Amino acid sequence: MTANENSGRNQEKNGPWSNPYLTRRTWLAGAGGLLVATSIAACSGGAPSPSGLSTGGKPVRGGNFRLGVTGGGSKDIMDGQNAITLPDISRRLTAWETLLNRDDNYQIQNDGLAERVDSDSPTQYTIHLRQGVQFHDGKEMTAEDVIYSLQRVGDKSNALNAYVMTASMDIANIQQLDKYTVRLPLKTPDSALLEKLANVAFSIVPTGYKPFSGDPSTQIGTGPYKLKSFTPGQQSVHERNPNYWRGDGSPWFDQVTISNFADSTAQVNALLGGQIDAMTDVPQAQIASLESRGSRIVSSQNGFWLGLCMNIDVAPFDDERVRQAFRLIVDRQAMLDQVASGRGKIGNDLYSLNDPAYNADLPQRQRDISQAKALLKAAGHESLTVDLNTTNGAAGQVSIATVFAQQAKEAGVTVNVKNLPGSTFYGEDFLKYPFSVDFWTPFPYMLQVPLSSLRDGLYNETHWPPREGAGSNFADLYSQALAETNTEKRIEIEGQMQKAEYEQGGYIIPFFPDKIDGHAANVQGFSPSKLEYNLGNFGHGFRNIWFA
Amino acid sequence: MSQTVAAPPLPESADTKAPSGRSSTLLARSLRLWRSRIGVAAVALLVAIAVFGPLLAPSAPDKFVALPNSLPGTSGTVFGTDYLGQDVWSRFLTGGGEILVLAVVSTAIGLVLGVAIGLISAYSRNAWDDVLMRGMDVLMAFPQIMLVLVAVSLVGPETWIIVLAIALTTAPRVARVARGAAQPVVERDFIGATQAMGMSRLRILFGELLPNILGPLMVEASLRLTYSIGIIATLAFLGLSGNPNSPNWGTMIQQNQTALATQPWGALLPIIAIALLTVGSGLIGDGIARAAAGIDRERAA
Repeated sequence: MTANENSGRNQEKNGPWSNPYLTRRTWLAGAGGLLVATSIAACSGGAPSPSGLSTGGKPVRGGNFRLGVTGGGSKDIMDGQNAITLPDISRRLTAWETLLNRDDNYQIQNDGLAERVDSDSPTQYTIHLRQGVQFHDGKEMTAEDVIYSLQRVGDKSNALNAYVMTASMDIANIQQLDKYTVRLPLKTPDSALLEKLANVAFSIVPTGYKPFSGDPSTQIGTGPYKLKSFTPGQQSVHERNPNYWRGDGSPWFDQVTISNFADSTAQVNALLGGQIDAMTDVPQAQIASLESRGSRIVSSQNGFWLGLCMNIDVAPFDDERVRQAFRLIVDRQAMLDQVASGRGKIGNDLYSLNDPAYNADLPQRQRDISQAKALLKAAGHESLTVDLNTTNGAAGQVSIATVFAQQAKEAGVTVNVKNLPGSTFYGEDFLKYPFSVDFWTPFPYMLQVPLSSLRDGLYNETHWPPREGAGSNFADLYSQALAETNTEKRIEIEGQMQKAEYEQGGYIIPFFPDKIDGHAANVQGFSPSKLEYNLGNFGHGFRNIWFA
Repeated sequence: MSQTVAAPPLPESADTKAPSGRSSTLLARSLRLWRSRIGVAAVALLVAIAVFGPLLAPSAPDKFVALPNSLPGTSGTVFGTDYLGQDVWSRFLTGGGEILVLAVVSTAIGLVLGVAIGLISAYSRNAWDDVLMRGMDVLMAFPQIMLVLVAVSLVGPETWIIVLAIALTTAPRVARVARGAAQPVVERDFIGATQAMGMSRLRILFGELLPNILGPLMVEASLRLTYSIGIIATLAFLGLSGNPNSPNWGTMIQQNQTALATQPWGALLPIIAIALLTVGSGLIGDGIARAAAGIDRERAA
């Protein structure tokens, strides 16, 4: 019955995560802003230093860090290059690392497993590996492992989530130049390549790696913690990797324990009772009570978004005047206040907030009921009634629909909110609704577009771009941006793309709610972060946090 | 001897004059008990809130008045705001009608159906009795909430299916009671006399049998109403009501439960109301049962 779906109102990652459609939000872990291909090469290696050490004091060793995560279940998996649930994402970050990393400002840094990645030409990249990095079993990481890792993602039969991102890569012809150098040829120019390599879905696994099937000792990576035990749906225990390559003393904990929680109330109680040291996704209503009882809140503007999706192929949204009217109906500040208690940032119907290419030059859209009414009248919809389909998937997914319905009344629009069970909402009608609410874990613009804003995108909820008229050249612009090696020019093209979506698109993105997590007062090192997952990607893979 | 058919009595009709002499004396007698008076007062208060509440609400139930989960007093709110920054007091005042109307309507339909089936069973004394009663047994084998949930999951949270499902699952329980109470009456001489007089079967059932079992039926009605309120509130709590933001008491509890530690009123007010309503109608039924059993006389004397 539907009780399960409904119980997750305040936990964005509850019940519906078991639905395959939802895995898209998890499958690109570690995505980020548009970073210039060439600038990566320019930033030379240097000594990597842990980022995010913002809360004073010198890190100290020791202790068992216990994390509570919601959203998992018996479908939890462990694969260095794949994840389905939020607990999977947190566990993957204990043991596996990427060639490039992102910092708390969402900038790609070359403090990952590669010293640098050079762009030789628009269709050829060279990866220079860091030397002396050991896997958990003592074997050194070499070019062979990197080639195996990329080919594993690119092998369709492995059914890894990031497979679609390898379309531009010439996987079969990856070459080993020497023990620490890999040449990656592309089939088509791909200016988003470095963003992909900085994504945890492209983590490096040792040659011959297989996902978890009962033996913890097979789960080998280069990361700060080694797997000791794992029971899907319940708990995993990770031991400190004494040979961790950074040489700065990290990781700091002797052990990390990750436990699944069924709901956020249990998580809050466990945090207050001292059974866990940190938790994901604190419900708005419980922030105050956590703070008043000595726990700490980390509030991050990570670009997570909820969108009202208008299907531009069907009436009444095939008329751009109706879409424009609906965008003018929204009182964004009131919606942010109501749905997220004001914790967040006003949106302008554009996604990828933390991407350097985010088009902040477009005028902030304001509520204008008389203009909305005039547009609806011109479109012949003076009294319009529409269904707005939603589900209790992410925090706010139903509330945003409710508030929109209330705000639309003033413009003479009747909105019937249909709160569907998760399995129904993400069932066969998903992507066909005229009007619906969905949510996304943030992606860089150039990675988000092929997912949701191109006709052949896997999750194109708005059926963008239009087949003719203004905006119909969107896909061409996208190809141009992919092929453009000059960063400034590329950002300019992306700006045009966003302008088209801003003016004609099917999304209403009223605000970006903050990501709000909690931890005990004695945990040091957590800080607000623009990284896409909870607690600043779990304290940068559990290596920048320690007990005071 | 014969009387006009009384409409299926409902607890809130307790203070109105029922046409049946029998039932009115029973009600009047039950009102001599404190438990009945408390029950009637509680139900009357909540019915008054449901009826007049919307007129007294200081703001529209879906109006944004202050930040979510604000404490009482913020922006002039009496009981603070709820999970969406809407006025808890206004939503409480407007949220009773839906639950009450649905509960009364579905219970009434269930009563009419159940009484008809029970009387026919008791009067027929043949194979029909077995067929009808075994059918009722099958329906009763499933917990009421489960059957209703199945129906709502199949069709969707539409109001008509909620009413229908509750009515159909209420009927077997009423039928059992009606049949049980009617059976000894059927054996009595005056029924034989009416048959001899050539009275129509319908008149015998509803003109002669029914008035003689009103006591237990009224008890059953109040009990069934209590259950219906509980089920409707449960469905709303599970999010299975038409509009996810309707100011329904059950929905309010679900929406505001996470704030219980910081701003309890959004959940507490509807919890108190539903508790009062069910306890009230339970007390009324209990009072009638005691009056029928003659317990009231000992106490009142």
